[in-house]
Amino acid sequence: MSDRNAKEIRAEAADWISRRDGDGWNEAAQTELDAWLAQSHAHVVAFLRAEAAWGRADKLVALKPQASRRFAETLKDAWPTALRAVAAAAVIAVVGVAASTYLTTSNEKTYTTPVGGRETITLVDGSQIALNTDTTLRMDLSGRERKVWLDKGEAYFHVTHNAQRPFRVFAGNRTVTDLGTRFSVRRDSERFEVAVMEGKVAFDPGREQEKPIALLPGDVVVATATKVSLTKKPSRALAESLGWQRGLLIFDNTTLADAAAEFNRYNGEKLIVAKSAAHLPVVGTFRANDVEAFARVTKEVFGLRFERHGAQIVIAR
Amino acid sequence: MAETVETGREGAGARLAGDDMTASDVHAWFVREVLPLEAALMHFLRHSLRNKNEAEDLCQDVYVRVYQAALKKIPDPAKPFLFTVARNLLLNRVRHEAIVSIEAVADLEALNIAKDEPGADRWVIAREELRLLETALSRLPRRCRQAVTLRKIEGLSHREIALRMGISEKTVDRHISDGVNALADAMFGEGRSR
Repeated sequence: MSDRNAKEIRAEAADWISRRDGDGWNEAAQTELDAWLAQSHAHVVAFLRAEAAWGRADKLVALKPQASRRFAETLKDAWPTALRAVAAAAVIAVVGVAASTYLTTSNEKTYTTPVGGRETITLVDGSQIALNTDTTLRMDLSGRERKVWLDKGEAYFHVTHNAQRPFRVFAGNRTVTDLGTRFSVRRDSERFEVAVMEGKVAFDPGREQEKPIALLPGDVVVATATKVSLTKKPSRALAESLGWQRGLLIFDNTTLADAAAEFNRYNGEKLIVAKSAAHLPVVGTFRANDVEAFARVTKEVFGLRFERHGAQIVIAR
Repeated sequence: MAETVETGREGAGARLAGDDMTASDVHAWFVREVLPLEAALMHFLRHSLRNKNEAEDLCQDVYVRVYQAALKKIPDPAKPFLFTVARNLLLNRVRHEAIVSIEAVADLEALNIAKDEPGADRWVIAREELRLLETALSRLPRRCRQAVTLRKIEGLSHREIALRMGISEKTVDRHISDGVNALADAMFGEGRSR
């Protein structure tokens, strides 16, 4: 019937879809495609099929906000085989990252990640904690309450809720109490942030005459020494803020200065942005440890200059 | 999704006017009404053909016939028409090549698949479709899967993917093309569970 078999024609149709999906698509290419389509109805139906499939594949983006999935990936990617084996056997209560001995009480364990590091801890109750770069976290699971102290850095919590054993995260005088949930907590020197992805948490700013605030999915609290603000973020934005679990930094109209500050959390090499370039908007996804790629792209897009001074890279117009 | 509905309405209007369908009406109809029947069609063809590998080719031939017919007048409902075309093509083969078991063809009614059952073969609900996509994605070869993930989940352009993966844009195109093919099979044909 048709001169060639379906496989070949479908492969060609897929090639066209891919080409059109690419960066080099132009009028000449469109003319070529039109000519190919005009050659036979077999081409048309194969093209419609491929086009419909590729369009529907946009739904895959729904996989993005599911942090639990990302946990699975994190585990797969980042865990040394030995650690994974240990976790699978569930022989010990807690799998340590760098369980150190500087302990204030005997039941406390400390976990740290270096700059650029990233680790996931699985607890016996199934709860998981992912530590981002340059993070120190202490944990005490011996008491009636499950207690975690975030001394610095950022962590993402996926807590198996247990009303009998509350899960509390302390950051300085502030407390986040899990009420069945997924949330992240970040503690920088001047700033504290908690974002709720799922479920509910109670946030106690830790100041006199202020009651704990109940936070729901999408809620983001930012607290500094002088004030506490609560904003709502769309789930997509929240998911992007968790890109670090896959080693990614995702920027959506972030200023170059803020983007550089993010990179600096992950790398020994520090970016310094001149005032003249600080406000430029950055959109895109980058490997957190690939400063080079970030530099290259911003250079191309904005026509900026980069100067290397030892471990510093100065970005200027 | 919304645009498909829009185009469908235009298509209906055109039919009332008694004119030939415009190509874009037919395209929208084909995607909306015919492609979702592929899993059932492939099942029928595999069941009927001695050489299962020919099912894909025959499916493609059925599509071409149905498409050509629709350019003149959109068959409504689509399902009985599609299976009638399939059966006729199979019967042709029986006559010319004796490769089909006649019983299988006669089974068409018995299989009860040519009846129009609205809903039965409509698009799998969104979550189901996502599951299909996810499974299909996980079955792709590693580099291909990586490219599709960066494109569809991270939203990178082919150029950015090339940079990220340290390969040429041509190779990215190659991976994406393979991905398109595999996802189409997963969504419409073999990959779909019946």
